Amino acid sequence: MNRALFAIPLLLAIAMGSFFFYVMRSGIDIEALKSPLLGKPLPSNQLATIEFSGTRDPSSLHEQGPFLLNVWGTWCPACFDEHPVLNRLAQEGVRIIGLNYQDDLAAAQRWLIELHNPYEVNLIDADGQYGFDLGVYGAPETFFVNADGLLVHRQVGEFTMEMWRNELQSIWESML
Amino acid sequence: MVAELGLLALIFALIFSLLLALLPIVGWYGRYSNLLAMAKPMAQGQFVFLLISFLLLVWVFLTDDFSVAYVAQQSNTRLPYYYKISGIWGGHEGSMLLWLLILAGWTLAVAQFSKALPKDLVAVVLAVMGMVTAAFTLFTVFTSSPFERIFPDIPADGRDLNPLLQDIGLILHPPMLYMGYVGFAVAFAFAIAALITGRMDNLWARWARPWTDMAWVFLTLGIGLGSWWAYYELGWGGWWFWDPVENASLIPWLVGTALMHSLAVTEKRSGFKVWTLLLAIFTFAFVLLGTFLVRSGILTSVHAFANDPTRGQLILAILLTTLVASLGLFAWRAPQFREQLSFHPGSRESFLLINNVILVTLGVIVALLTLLPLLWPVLGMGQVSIGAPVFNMVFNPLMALLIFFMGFGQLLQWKKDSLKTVLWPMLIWLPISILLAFALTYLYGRTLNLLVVLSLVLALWILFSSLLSMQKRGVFAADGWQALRRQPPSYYGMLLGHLGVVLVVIGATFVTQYEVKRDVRMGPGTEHELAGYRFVLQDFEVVEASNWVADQANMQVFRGQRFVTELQPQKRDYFIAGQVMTEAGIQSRLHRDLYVSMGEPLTDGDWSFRLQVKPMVPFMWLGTLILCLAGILAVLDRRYRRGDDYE
Amino acid sequence: MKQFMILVWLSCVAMAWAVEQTGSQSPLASQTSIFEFHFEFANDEERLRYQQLTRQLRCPKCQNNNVSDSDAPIARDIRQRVYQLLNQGFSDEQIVEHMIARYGDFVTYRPPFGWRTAIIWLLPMALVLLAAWSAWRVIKSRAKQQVKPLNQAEKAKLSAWLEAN
Repeated sequence: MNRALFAIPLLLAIAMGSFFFYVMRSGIDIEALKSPLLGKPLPSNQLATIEFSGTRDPSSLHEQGPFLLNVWGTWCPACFDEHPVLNRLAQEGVRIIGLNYQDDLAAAQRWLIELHNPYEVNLIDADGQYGFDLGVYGAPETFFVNADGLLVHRQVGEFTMEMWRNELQSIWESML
Repeated sequence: MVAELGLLALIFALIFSLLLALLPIVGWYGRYSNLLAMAKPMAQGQFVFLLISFLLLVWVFLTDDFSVAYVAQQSNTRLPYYYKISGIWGGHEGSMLLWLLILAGWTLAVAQFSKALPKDLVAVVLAVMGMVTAAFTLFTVFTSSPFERIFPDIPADGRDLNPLLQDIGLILHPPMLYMGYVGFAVAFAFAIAALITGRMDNLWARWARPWTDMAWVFLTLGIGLGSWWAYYELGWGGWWFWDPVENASLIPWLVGTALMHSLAVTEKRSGFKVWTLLLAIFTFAFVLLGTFLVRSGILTSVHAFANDPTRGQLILAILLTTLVASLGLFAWRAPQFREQLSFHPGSRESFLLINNVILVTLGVIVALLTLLPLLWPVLGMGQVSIGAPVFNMVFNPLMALLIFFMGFGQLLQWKKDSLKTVLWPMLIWLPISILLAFALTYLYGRTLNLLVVLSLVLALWILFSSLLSMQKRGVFAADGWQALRRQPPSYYGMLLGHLGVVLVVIGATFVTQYEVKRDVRMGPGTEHELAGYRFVLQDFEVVEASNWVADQANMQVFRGQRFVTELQPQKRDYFIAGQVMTEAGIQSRLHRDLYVSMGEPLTDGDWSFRLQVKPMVPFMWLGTLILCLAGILAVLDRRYRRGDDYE
Repeated sequence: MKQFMILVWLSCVAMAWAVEQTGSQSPLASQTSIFEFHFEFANDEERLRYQQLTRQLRCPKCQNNNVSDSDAPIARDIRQRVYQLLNQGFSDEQIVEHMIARYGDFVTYRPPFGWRTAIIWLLPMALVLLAAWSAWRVIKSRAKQQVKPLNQAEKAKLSAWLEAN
């Protein structure tokens, strides 16, 4: 038997240890779920709007330019925290579409009046079926859709102005 | 003040462990026998101070000193005293201290009970254990001290122990599991000592073996208790989920079982030496890997104290240092233990080899499948879940194969035996057992479920093989009673151990294949029928304890017109912790469990319920107990042959 | 270590509960129970398929739990969709694919076979083959070794050694 064979366990252990250190130090978020819709168009469906402006199909909204589809509800505290950031972005000219997810219509309308309305239009998804087709698993979620109607990025959970400046803004600008 | 004394005691223990790690090694290289002799008192000192430290923590818990952060987090004035104590090992810091205490306990036991062993070997074994203790004591003192204070905002009361942990299961399961986990440090230390001293003979194996067996018994018991606890305490009747944290205990068990068997070859035939060393190192390495996985939160199993990356990296550093040092030593020194033991393909050695290969393959595969999901996010390829379907697909066939070979292995003799002496009876038996299994399956379930058939074939296979083995030893001859008495306990240990495995397999297969569950809506007077049992809801009542209030359903179960039992499932509101728990109502009989859990209140005073009938569940617990008994018998055997050298 | 696993569960339960309280999921949808007692099944086989599917699907919100045992709102949504699709006559594979199209491979405990996931099956298979091959080789080589009977000098040495021990 070759003496070198005796070193194999050692090498395996070192390889494995380095892998763990890499994973822990690289800061890769191993829990972030990637949307299977990336690079694909949004699912097509006719949804009513909070503004009573007829129905809209999210998969054809890109014809007026790229946009963010923000999934929110009045029952969601993180959405409340995120709202000022959306207001700010809307001011800066970012096009934001709302998807009011599993919510009460009257409460949603009151929310938009009291907290300002950053959304170009708000689609109603009261039973959550459209959100399900989007793969939403917790609000807020924000879908970045480019001018071709393809999903470029999905942000799960609340984002802050700082996160926007650091990572999200460049994604948005690359879509313009 | 008491908490500070506890920390002080811990630091004293650290000093003792550092000295224990250092002095005997220096003594070994410099041949100073007075330094070698220091090992025992150092091991004693280390244990005493860890014990003091632990008792002081108990004291702090019992006196409700909420200025100690860990107490405030784990306990509450309303908690009964036994949960106050068990709350110590309900969280990271306290469980680390228990881990250390148990490690020191094993070290002390080695120091006390190894009088017949060469002094220098024992000293080196103790030193290696001292190194492990020192590393983890350092870790505990600097990153995970349970004695940390919170100033100045001392809470008036604690946050209460996690309700899931307020249970007899938590009192027993972690200490047992740690006894097993940490016990493998002894086998590891023996292996390292063999590599350092260059001495590894039958005597070495004879001494390493009972320690390994004991650790294995505790680990088996710990895993079994954990499974049992999950089964009745979580409220849904699941008992194994292939969760990373469970796998973390299963992997050392698989590799440890291999070690136990390979030690037999090393002891009786002076063979498989290099392999035994490697297994001893790997078993402990997997223990450390499990500790790392569980306490670092690197895997997607979210658990409560998974959120400190520095702790994770430190444990990883300890793990890697241990591995690099021990495997480096192995690469350097193990080649001297190469042997070319010869044995016939039909001998016990070759079947023990097969046993080892399968068990280690199982362990490595479980480890890989547990860790593999990390790969996808690292490569930026999204997320993949590897769960029960994949594990079962790989684990079950290999397990079946293992049991199949086990049937031959336990019949064969050492060195040279011919498969032929056992092959024919076994081969004739095989079709009979298959037919029998089909018949039994049909009689039992009126379907021909192939997995059930397979589990029965394996059971009959082992049963027949055991009978054949006893027959070969003359048990069924005229003076059978004498032959029965002549067999050493380890022989019965072997037979029982294999029987235990089969029982667990039967229980697990039947419950997964034949369990029925139904979600129903029930109010007082409603009844539902499931698998021949009639569940009749009598009424609801409110039950109170010091830290919870529960809605309880009183449900009677009938089989036909015959009253079977009354079950009392509860929905408990632990108002201090602010958590709601499902306490299932269970009636257990050997052939089935009735399992009722309460869901949520509905309109009109109704509740939703989950009714389950789960066949053969107790077989798993019984099998586990028999496995433990088997291990204990094996240990007993070593004891009374202590005087003589070779059989 | 099981208590840590219990904590896994607890955090799921607690998370689901907290979610219910703070409302990261709509309170409108939270009227239904974790126990789907209101689902009617045409026959036992369909019920079994439902139970197996909900055990195979993983709850995306709580990290290691199937949707059958999880009371997270998203798990409930998935259960309802599974039930709908079952009633519409979808096969098990189609239902799992439906979920993967929305939640990714993460959602199933049995990853679909493909180039991205081939390693999950190939690696264990390779290991088993390697193990079988090495066991075969060792047994063969050990069997070949000649066992020479001891000569006189060796016998003397052995008995001397045996006495010494």
